[in-house]
Amino acid sequence: MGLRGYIAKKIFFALIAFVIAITVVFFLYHVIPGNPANIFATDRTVNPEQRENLLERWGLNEPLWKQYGIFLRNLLQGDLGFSYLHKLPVSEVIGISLPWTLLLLGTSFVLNAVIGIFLGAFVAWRRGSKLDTGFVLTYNFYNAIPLFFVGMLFIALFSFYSRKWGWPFYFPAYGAQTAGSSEWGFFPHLVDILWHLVLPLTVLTIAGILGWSWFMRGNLINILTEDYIKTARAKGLNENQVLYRHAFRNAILPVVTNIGMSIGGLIGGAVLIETVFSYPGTGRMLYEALIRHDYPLVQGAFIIISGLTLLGLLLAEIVYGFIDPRIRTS
Amino acid sequence: MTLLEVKNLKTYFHTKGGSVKAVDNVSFKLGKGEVLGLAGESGCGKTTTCLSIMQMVDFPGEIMEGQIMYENAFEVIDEDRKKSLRDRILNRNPGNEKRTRNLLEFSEAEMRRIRGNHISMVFQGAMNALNPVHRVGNQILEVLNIHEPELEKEDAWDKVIDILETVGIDSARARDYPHQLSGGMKQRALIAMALVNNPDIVIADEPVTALDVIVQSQVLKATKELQRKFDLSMIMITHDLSVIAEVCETLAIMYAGKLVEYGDLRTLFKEPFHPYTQALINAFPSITGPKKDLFDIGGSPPDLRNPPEGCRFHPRCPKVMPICSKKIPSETPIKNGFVACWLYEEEEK
Amino acid sequence: MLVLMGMSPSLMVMGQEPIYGGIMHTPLSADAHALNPFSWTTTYEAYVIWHIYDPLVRLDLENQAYACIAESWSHSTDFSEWTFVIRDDVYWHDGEKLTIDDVFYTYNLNWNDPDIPRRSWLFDEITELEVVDNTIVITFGWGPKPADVLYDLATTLIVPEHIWADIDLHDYANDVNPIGSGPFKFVEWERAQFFRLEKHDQYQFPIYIDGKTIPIISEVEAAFYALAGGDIEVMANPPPELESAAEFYNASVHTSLNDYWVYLGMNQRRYPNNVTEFRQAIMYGIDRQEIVDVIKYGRGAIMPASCNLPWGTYYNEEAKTYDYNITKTIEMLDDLGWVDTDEDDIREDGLGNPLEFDVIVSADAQESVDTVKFIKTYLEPAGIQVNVVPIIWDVLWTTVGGTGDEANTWDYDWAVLGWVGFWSDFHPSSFYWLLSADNWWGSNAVNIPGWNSTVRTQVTDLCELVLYETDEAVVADLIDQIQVLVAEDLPYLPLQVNGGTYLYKTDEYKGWQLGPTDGPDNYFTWLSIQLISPPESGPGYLALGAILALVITVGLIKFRRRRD
Ligand SMILES: Nc1ncnc2c1ncn2[C@@H]1O[C@H](COP(=O)(O)OP(=O)(O)OP(=O)(O)O)[C@@H](O)[C@H]1O
Ligand SMILES: [Mg+2]
Repeated sequence: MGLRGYIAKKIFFALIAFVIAITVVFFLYHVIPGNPANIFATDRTVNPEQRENLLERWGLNEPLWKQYGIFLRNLLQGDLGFSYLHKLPVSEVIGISLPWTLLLLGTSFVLNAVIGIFLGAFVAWRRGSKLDTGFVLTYNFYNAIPLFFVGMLFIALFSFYSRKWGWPFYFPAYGAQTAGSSEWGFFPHLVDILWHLVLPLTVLTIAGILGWSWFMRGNLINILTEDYIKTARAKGLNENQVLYRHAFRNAILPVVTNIGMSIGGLIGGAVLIETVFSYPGTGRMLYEALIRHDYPLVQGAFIIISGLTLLGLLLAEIVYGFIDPRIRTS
Repeated sequence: MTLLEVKNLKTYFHTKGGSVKAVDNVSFKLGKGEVLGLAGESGCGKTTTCLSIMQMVDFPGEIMEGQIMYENAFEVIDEDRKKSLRDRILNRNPGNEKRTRNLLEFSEAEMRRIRGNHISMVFQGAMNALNPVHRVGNQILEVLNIHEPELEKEDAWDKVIDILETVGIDSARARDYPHQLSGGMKQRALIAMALVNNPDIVIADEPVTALDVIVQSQVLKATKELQRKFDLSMIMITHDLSVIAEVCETLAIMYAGKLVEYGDLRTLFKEPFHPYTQALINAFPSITGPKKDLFDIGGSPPDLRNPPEGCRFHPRCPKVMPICSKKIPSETPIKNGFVACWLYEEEEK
Repeated sequence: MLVLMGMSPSLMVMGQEPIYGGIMHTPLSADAHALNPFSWTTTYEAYVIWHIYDPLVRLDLENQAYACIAESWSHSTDFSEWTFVIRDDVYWHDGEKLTIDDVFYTYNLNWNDPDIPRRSWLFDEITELEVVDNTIVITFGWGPKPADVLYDLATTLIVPEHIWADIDLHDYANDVNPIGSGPFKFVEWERAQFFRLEKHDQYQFPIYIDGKTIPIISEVEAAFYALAGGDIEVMANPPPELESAAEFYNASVHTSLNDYWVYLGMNQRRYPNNVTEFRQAIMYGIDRQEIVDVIKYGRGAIMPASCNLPWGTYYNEEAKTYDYNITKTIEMLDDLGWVDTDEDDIREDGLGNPLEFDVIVSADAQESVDTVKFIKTYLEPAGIQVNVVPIIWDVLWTTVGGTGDEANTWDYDWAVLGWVGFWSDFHPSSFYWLLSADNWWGSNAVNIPGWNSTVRTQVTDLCELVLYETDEAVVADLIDQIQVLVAEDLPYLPLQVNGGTYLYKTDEYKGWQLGPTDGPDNYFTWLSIQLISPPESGPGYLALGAILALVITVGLIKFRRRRD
């Protein structure tokens, strides 16, 4: 079949998965009890007549299958609906928040992958050592604390106590930039954004790195018992060469397939971290939309998130195809 | 001429339940161009013996004692160490730099120069002994890259193609990945990898066990030819009597971490001394007959964490005597070798 | 024109001329979504909008009318004709002068445009709008009370005609750069991040701070550390466990009561909830002070059974209060003859059914769920079985009939809910809204508690009288009567008024204005607040940036060297 066929197949399945995902999202948010229209009912300023008008305008009075048809047609035209809450098209609302999330998640993802893989490899190579024991303890400890709590701890420590105790630095407790920093010129603005990124990124990335390196460590420990590792040693390769030329690449293969899972974890983490650090990303926006029942926005955000996740998965699978010769050449 | 001599080798695995005495006081010699067969039941320590020679025993294994004297060891010794050694050797024994040295005294870096270069090993279980993500040719090339870094790229590649053709693999397959090769081809590729840098000694750990009968004999024939061609010394571990008959000149029988009999193949087959060996060989009416597993004796081998007192075979031995369970028999010389059995130690009876 | 009431700013700013301005930082816990003075829906939007736009009249800290754009006002003896005179020194943020035409434009829009969500029910009652010189004359079909007109109608935010005349009102285009005449000019809004406002130089009253930054901080814990660290100056409802530590960080605590009260609704469409003595028995059996103290951490107060907020002018102390008394509950149930006949520790009602009730409550609101759990334990010794049933808000609201749909089933026993925005302390019409059979919440389409006793007719009549009565003393008397009746008949079983706790920094700013129903972050604070000492220079992270830059440079140089 070869690489081309493999990629075509993966794209095809990703598309099917996407269609299923958006269908599930649509029906899920239309069959759960309660009606989006109730939002208006709780508002004393909207009378029943006006409410009917609003329902009409947003097509909420149509039967479900018809709404689904409209939904699909609009989706094809890139129209994700209109957010009740923000009074803006959903695509625009997401467009505002997505860059921040991509900045946070993207940076975190790259750091997770690079640091996680190398740390995992290093720890696996030194398995049984104090470093390894320390790593296992840290991993279990960090996983046992809720991310929210870690976030708060970081805020208390690096935003407040650092100032109180006169450390030479501190980081902001909230937001993605200082209000008005866009007027300071390009470089100071950039520094300001990075400065705000540090804490949320750190909390998110520590979790990610630990997860990735844990996975990598497990793989590598398994790989190191494989026969071809013995063969490699018997050739006279030194430990580094064995590790990086022979064990590493084989251990990375399952890590690549695991990217999907880690994207899911990242998004889950992002919702929490963005809320804790008041970061203006899609995760927090989704959270707000959920608790305030902004159905079109929730739906739109889920579509974008599942789209991005599937895209990430697809890329991972394509990369996998390139690095695993068993796929490339069969 | 002795190329490699193993003396009183002890390799133990330190497990929670106690030390597994996988290799316990094993000694043998390997001459230039000699093929030594190493046979014994599963778990008796064959692989461990060979890994000890390569110094590749994995944790929790440890070489406790012994010497592994290798003749051409001098050239891999680190330069600064070599210099002081040379001074000492030349003073004592002028003109002889090629002194045999104990590999167990070598550093890890020195050992790396031995592995794949002087002594190479083909591992048990060929199906997984090649790295699935690298091309076969490149994996062979790697040996040359490490040990002959000054070799031109093209020359090295030519050498790889050469050796592949010698073992009977089409040169076009050099750019294939392991999963594209058949089992027999993989095994040949591994042999090619072991041979590519003209080693002195090749250790082959059950090189053909995983293959079907026809492929087995093809691979064996090729191996034997190569061995003759390069005048290689080989240690061949196997379960299969016919394999031994086909390629070996000397035979060592191992039982529960110890060598019980060692000697010239033909004599041993004709007149086995040790009751264990006798049981093995008598079980086969004809060594050229249908292939069978070598071992089919009642009982099971002992737990190597606390092996039986005295001769380790005595609980299963048909000719057991009172002394057998009390004292370990020593190695009694026989024709071209030795046997470790109380039957032949006259004076102690 | 018989009565003329002139109002002047009640606020005197502390003696000497202030020297320092500064930027005040006050967080919101969620983003606003449209800065449209007509179509806003959440308190977050209202908060920002009320910085930018001004009404004719604001409420001061004692909930009295405070002239803002209006200079003075007057009404005819029967209250049917109201005249507002506007100030001559009011300017829009774009420099244009605010004229009476802008006021007319805004009122007319509210009165006539069906697409404008009206902010006051009184617009429905207007019969004529007229401009005379610099006054606007509003004529009603009858005579609404001053409290209603001033607090409800006159608090409508005024928009500039020269901007809005060209805007499609459905477009919400005014979000982008709202122009008002309020104390602060809109500068920047980064969605989900912050608002930046700057002082309106031409404002009719003096303002000392240079501007306000309103960051959006989702978590109160984070807000607390921001406050303690000096990034923000005020916050609402800090985590109770941190509140006690506030003084270490130079923050003061202010508590106030909110116009938000919580009640237990017993569905009186069902027996035995429609037995008044039974409702009274239940009311005696709930320790409401404990609910305030434990569940609300003391933030709030008991809500009087009369459904009238416990402060302000109309509160009647004579009405029944139902102090916690479980013995009384047991006595009353015994008197009703509802005793436990089958020895399962649950009493049976007059029809022989056990006194067992499901209480529906919003699953999102942990405090309400806890409240129901408390009620369950209170009523257990009296032989009443209460089951806690948390459900999602939408379902709860539909079930209790809040949507006013025909499809309402009112299929519930008891529910815990709350009311916001009735200002029953000074709003004579609040009872009309809540209880009158003729009105939205009290109407048969909604009528959440299903109140249907003869008292309801009496109360409805009294509410009507209040609405049309012109004599203030009579109004007070009527409202007294209503309160007594309501407290006796208990259509709702009010539990508590929620309160707010605020932290505000007193080491950086002075001039905070505090009121019983307001946090320190209010209009009057905005006008009077000023920095105590000159603003600090340079943000703290610049040092870090410099260090980072240094480390990177040194690292790069070393790296280069090593490669050479
Ligand atoms: N890593 C290890 N830890 C503990 N014991 C081990 C380890 N590796 C080998 N052993 C033990 O050492 C003994 C010798 O093992 P070895 O692999 O050398 O046997 P073998 O003769 O090669 O057997 P086979 O014919 O099955 O390959 C066995 O009893 C085995 O259980
Ligand atoms: Mg073996």
